[in-house]
Amino acid sequence: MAEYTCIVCPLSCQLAVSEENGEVVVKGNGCKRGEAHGKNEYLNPMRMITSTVVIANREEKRLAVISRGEVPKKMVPECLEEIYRTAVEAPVSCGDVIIKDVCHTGVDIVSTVTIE
Amino acid sequence: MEKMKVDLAVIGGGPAGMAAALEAKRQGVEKVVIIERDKKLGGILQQCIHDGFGLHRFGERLAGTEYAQRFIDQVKETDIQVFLETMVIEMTADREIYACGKKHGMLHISCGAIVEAMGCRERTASQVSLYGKRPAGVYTAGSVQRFINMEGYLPGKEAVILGSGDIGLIMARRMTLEGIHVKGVYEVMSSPGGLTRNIVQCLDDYDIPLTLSATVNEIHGKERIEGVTIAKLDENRNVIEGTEEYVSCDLLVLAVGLIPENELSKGAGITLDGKTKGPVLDENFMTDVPGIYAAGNVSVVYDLVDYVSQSGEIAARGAASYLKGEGSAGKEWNHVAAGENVNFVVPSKVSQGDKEKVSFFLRVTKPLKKSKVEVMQNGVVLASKQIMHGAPPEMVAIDSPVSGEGTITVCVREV
Amino acid sequence: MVLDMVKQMLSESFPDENISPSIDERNIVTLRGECSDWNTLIQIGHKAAAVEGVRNVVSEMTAKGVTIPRRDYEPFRESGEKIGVIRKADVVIIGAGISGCGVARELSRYPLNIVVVERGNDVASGASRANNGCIHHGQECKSGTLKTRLNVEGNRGYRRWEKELHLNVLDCGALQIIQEESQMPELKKRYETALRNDVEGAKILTPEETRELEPGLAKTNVPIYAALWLPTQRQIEPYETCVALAENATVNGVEFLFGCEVGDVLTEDGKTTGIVTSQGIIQAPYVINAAGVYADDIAKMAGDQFYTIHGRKGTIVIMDKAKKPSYPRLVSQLTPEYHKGKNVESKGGGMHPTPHMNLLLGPSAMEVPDKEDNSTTKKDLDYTMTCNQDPNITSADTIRIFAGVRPADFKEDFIVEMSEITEGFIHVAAIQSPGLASAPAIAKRVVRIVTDDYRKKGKNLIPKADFVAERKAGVCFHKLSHEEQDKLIKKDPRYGNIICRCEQISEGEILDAMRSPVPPRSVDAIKHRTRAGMGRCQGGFCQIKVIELLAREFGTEWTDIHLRGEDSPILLEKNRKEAEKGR
Repeated sequence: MAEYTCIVCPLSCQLAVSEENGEVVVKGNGCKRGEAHGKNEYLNPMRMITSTVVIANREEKRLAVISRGEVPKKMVPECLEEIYRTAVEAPVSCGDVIIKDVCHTGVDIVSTVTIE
Repeated sequence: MEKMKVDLAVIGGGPAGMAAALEAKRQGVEKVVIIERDKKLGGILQQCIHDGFGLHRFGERLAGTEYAQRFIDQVKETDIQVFLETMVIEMTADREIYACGKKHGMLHISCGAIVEAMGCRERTASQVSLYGKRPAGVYTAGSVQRFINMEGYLPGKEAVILGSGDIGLIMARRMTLEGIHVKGVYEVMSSPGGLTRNIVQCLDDYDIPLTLSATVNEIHGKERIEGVTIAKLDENRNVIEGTEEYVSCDLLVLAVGLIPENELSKGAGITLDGKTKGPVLDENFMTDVPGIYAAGNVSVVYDLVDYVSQSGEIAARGAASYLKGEGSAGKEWNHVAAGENVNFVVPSKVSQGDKEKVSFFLRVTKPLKKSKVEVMQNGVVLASKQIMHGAPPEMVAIDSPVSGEGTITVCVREV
Repeated sequence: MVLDMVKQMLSESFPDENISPSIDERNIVTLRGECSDWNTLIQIGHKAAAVEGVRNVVSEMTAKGVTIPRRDYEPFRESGEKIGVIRKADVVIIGAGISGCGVARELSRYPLNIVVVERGNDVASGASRANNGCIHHGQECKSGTLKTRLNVEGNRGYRRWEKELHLNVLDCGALQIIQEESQMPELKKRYETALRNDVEGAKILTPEETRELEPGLAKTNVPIYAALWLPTQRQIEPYETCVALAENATVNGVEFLFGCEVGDVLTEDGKTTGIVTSQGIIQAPYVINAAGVYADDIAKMAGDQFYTIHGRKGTIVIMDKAKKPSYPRLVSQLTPEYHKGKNVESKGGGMHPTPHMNLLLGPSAMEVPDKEDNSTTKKDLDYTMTCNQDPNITSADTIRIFAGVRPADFKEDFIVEMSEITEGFIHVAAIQSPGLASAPAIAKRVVRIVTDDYRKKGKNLIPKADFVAERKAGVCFHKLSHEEQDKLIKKDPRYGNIICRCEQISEGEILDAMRSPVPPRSVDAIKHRTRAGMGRCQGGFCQIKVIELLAREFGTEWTDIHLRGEDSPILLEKNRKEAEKGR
């Protein structure tokens, strides 16, 4: 069994997720979306990544980046390592892909800033 | 000294200031300038690289930087004049601004109207009575955010965080991801200062312990911080003797509150509100000095950037009507009272006369279950809405029509 | 004889304490033994020093359960001896606090080769930095003491320093107010002390005269029966004063060595020949001991320790200058409650406006066994807050709390004299409050000791013709008119780049400081010279910019920039090293 605080809405329901007869059961949820959230957290938790990469040729020293979508939680450290190894050069626009398909997650890491 | 005349000057190019300048353009205000002390627009969002911004406005989970970029891009498409690296050092009640910068020297700007959007600053160690030594390694959460996210430096290896406001929680995660061991977050109050989702996503996810009703009682280390004494607090926030515990660390991060930065307001003789620490505002977010408006965290500290932008737009619409000789200046006021379970309401007064929509922003005094928010006047409910839950860190917004005379009361009651 | 009196006093006053006193031919009493607590240890010292005939007291006592930290000077001596002689000077001054800087500046009028050694990385690293900036009038000191004489003389001497060094001064005077007739005898007693102490312009005022002099009192409705007016009281910035003295001394040829620890004082045939420091040996026939809380250790090295310095901590609170003090004059209300809780031996502070019009509270006065214990405590802070008599200012206006340690001996008087044992070794010791106010007179007295000694040896020291008396103050951007600001920025755009938003300090001013005769190397040193970071955000916004400027100016890494000394880095390391290396 696992316990989570639901963050789907500010109500913060305490979810208890367990497997009964091969089926994932969520208890404590106040709504359908909470049930789905509990199942996801239990089976395959996903996370956004936000971080920075080195920018080499401008006064700015770091470029803020974000994952375009969530990646599996267990992949986060590996993805960060790749991000930490990355350096880019300006100009770069908000939304530009900085790392394509980071660690084969199918998710791109993109810039969140425009630096001309 | 270079002199210029503008219709609207916006002081500060963060999310409130940019939203105000853009809305003023949409309202047909001709000459609009933004005066920004930093090298770029964006304000504090420049260092907010985490996601969760813009859920209300854009229906997306943007990074703070991304949210700012959307506004920066829009500003670029207008004829709004932006003065960067320019700092307003004086503002007078008759709307004269003196601003200095490397490029222009001292600028003297005569303004038809002004929107203040200078943001807020963080409470420091001295302001929360942290005892002990004063070594290096004690920083506010915002400073650490800048060190790491913008400058690319780590200010420590083992951190203790005092204060569970959102910035403290966000920084707990950021530091952890950057390899800093966050030993714990300590909160003086008996309930967390930040949003639950931030506690879940920033602390629980990384097994960072949160201790409520506890404080850093003493800082140790002569030159660089070596540790802190943590102590539990009773209900009157006094240290419970015998609960002191030494925690070694080389970094103490303070997330102990934000204060609207109203030094320019004080200079212009604007009256401030004791509760919000921002100017006393009317429904157009006009201060008690006619033609000077306030938006964003300089008016009251918001929890969501969406509200910050919204307040900029309200102020800009007010300024636009003021420039047309309409607006609320010179009118009689209805007082806005904080009713049951409400700590404060912004605006705190509304000019008399019929209004289709006035936006009220409020904070509740204590955690509440499913509740009804009501705007009342002379025993009549003008507007109401249901919220599933209320908590002091979370701002509540409600729109209401207003007409007639008499105190307007906003209250929140559990149902 | 004297020893018997000391013994009698001890057995009468401290029957339960285990004390064994001894005395030498100069009537210096040495106390040994263990007593019950630290405050008792201090009381025993004071009582022994007060016995008639006792010249001073050396306390080697311990207190139960109290650790008294002792400095180990051996590593510095070893290091210095290994390096060997690095300077041959005429005078070496130990300590760059207000006394050391003052002496250095006044001695630099003469054709002497002077070196100042300071263990901190800047001037005013000890007691002088945590000081309330009073140039006391001198009414509150015990009549007839050296302290009183130097205080009153020093107060006058500042007039010249203020002018020559362009110091920021608040010429506020002091008003001591009583509320009822019953307090009149006390006020008259104070007035008479003022006359006896030669305090200029002392006068008893009627309520009307008082309110006229300080209009703020009318607004706050303070009941006034009468007041003692002491017009010579002024407020300065202690740090700025030390910097100004050091800069002017440097211009006149004095050399300052920072981060320089003293390991030993060299003597030969009853004469001093110099000192051994962590940076090498400095030979000099005159050694001036202005070492603050460690002056007793230095005196011991010179073979003439006849006093013990004990630390008396004071906590100070600074309020936001956005809340102007209600009384621009130094106003104190002499209610009986006001004086409760004060340390009887040291004039604890009260409520002071500063030259920049912040309200300053304190310092408190608390005896501490650790001479470097500058930590703040709740008890001390609560006391300091009680100094606030300004009805418009509350604890919510606090922007900074700090503490410092005063160097006090058991006689509670200043010691400014040539050693009777080691020729050429000059004590400038136990300079606690009002040491800042007395600094010009202390410096003058030391100059006289040195010049007299030269004369005795048949040499006449004549002031240098090329002595530069004036030290120009730097640009202060926020005090200029907007027109002047505009002109200045057009001349040098860096004055238009505001680094510290709270105090409105520009890049130009910080660069000026970094290029001054005694350049600041740390963030705190910049703060104390320019006020950048001294405002309500306490460097939250500008600290990173100051780091950037320091690193750029001195060509170092950001991680090499420290808050104060060499063990206080602000940033520890860069992130993304791998990605940066690849570039």
